Amino acid sequence: MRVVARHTLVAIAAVALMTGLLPVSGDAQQRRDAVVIGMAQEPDIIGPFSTMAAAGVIHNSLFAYFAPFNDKWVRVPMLAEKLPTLKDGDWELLPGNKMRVTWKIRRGFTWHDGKPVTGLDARFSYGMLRNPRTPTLTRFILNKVDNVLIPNPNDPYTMVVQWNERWPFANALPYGDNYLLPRHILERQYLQDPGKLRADPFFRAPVGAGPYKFKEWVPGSHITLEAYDGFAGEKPKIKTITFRFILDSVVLTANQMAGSVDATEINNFGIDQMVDIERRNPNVTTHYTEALIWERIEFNNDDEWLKDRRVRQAIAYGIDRETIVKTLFQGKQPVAHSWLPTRHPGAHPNVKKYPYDPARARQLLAEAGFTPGPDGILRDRNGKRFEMTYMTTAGNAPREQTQQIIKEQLKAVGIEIRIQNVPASVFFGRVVVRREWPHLAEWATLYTPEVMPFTEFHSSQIPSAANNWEGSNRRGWRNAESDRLAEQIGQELDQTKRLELFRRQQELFVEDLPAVPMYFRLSLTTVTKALKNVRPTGLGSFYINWNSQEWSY
Amino acid sequence: MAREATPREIALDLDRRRKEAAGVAVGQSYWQIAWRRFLKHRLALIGGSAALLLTLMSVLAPWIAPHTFDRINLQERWIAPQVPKNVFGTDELGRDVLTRIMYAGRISLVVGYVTAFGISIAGAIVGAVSAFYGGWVDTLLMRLVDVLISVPVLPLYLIMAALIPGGGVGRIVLIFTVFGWTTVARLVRGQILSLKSQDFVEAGRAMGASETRIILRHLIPNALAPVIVAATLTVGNAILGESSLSYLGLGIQPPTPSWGNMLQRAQEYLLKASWLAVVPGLFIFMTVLSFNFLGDGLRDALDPRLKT
Repeated sequence: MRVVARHTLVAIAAVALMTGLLPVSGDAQQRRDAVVIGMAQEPDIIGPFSTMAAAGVIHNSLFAYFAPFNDKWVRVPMLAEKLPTLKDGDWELLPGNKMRVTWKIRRGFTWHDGKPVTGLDARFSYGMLRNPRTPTLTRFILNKVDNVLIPNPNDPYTMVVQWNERWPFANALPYGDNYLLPRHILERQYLQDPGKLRADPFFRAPVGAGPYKFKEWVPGSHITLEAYDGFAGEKPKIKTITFRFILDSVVLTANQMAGSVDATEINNFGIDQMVDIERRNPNVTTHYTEALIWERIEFNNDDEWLKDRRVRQAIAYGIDRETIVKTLFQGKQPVAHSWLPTRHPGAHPNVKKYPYDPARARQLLAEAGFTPGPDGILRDRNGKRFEMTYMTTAGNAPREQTQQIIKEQLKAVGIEIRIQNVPASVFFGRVVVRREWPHLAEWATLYTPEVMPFTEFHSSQIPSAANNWEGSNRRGWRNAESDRLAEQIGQELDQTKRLELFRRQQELFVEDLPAVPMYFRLSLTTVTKALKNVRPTGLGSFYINWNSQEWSY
Repeated sequence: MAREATPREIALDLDRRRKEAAGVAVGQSYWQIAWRRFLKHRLALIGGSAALLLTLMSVLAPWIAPHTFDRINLQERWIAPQVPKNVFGTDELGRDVLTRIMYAGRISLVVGYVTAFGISIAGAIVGAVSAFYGGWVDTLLMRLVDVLISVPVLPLYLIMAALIPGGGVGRIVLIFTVFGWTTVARLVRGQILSLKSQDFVEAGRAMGASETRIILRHLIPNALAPVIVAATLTVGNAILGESSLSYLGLGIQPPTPSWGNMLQRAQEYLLKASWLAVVPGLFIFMTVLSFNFLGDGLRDALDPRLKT
């Protein structure tokens, strides 16, 4: 009943929109010192322990970073005076593959309660995040850091980071993480019980050092931040930023069309909705930002059929990815031929391609021992019908449409596909993490420019009950040469050499094809044209408001 | 030799004349009377015929549908309703909406009918046992009912849907039946509590009938009317329930259509292709409405206390 009622409401809103009952320019645009950002997600908490993208958005305006990425994907120093380099000597290579990196923190940055930001906060943050009792999401890089020291107590603005092993981005994430938290507020609680830190009220009303300070959080409705006059970087011009939570993307679309939100981020929009918004409200700019989001179909490489490389390649030849991309995304999201998106410097444009070629697919399947059955579906050597399950997140329109098109295309080469979708919480919480999909599963991964292949492709990173389901090589790919390259890439400090290794690793990946790359997704955001200096990065941890202090009307 | 009518005969005769004047046939069984009363209920007749038509449409879908329900045609996406080729237009993958509506009816109505049947049987048995035996059996069962009624069902549906693998009709019907029988159980229990102290039950007992026989042959048939009414109303509720499960992505898996998942998928295209939402919405609306009218009519017809 409630659902029907909601449909009715949406329908009424839609009709009202179409007949012009709602003003196209809402009241939000008349307030020239405030910005309302609509999001289809509300964070659980704010800070490093949240798994939700929405928390990261709030974080961007609330906290100061050592060196955030800008829209050109270059790290620009903010809290740090400069990025350490080998040439300048503040990044030193030591015997035994160890490293020492010296950071200078810019003076003048203060927490929103007025206390100065120093290296002691960084040292505290490192220790807290590294402590296995705190619920840090990943310690993969943190664990490579041996210690963070303040050598001179009279100069808490100079910090030395000791690395256990080589890591190419030791001058990007100071101690293996982005998060910097105030020691003077959190230390007592942390020392009392690190395990309970996540529940500390701080993470529902945090004190940051960024351009905006926390004002209020009305659960289920919005979070409001207001400009922090003491910010040591560029002074914010917009007085307040409100993040409004509109969980239904259709309703969020209507709100952006009506101008009752100024911008949207984490909006769950599809290309269709972006086009609709642009058509119906000419005062809105739609940003299709090239991103590092890889959408693919993962094989379960332990399956008796899918163990055979010919079968995996046949499936790739049997899927017309060009047509899918052209039809469903108006050609805006490019077909992926490998795992590293085009905008990454390590992308490999000349890898082997798998164009739509059903004849080749049938031939490969015949070579793998499949023979046609009476119903047009293939049978394997034991006479078993070639029927496979294809799972993804239920209710996701582009994915479900892709599935249905692929089902029809693979039927033409003799493979029966059974679609079995589950809610996102079950899919990511269980099916993916515990490798519970029998044959095919589709999802996306968001990379950063500093992505490394180790956790996702190394054979030691296959999750299992024995290793407490750690690692991201969920497809179960085992390739000794790729393993060797992944290890080498993680240690190689020379960018040119590293990117060359990246390309070789991708050639192996594409030849072996443990997953079918589908397409590279764009980051989709919208913003009213009146708001100046909005430049989305398209990166996972730097959202539309990464430079909110530069915004103005 | 003619004799004077006794006062009793006069009374009977008067009663017969009064009934005849009121249009009630004399000497008819309870069911015949109910049927006559039902035929006089205009809304119920309309509801019943509409339900019958929708059922026929769905049953005959493979023979009368103009297209194939899962045939994708990427060249013909978003075609607005047009006669005669696509009466209800085409969807986001170029499939004929009319055809999908017909096939979707098969799922939605099966969910409705089977759930109604399952709920009625389960509810009637629990209600009857509870009322007949009373005591701790009654307390136990009715507290279970209280618990099930007080728990919000949607989160339970979500948990069940996550626990039971597969996405078929069976799972949905099972979920609805497990949580839906409580209303019928209460109805039947109330009905039987009032029946079990009546003379015919006592007579049955006196003649040595077993408890099972008394429940199955005497009590349940007499408590049937409210169950039938509740069952027709359940049909509509189950169809709505399936649509909300589909709305949450827990219903029927694509490409199989149900009215609920068609509506769910249409929400993204509300502004672009409103017919995708309007058509399945209309069919859900019509079905629920017709079953509610039907249920209303049946209640009036079967209620022995209601005068003609």
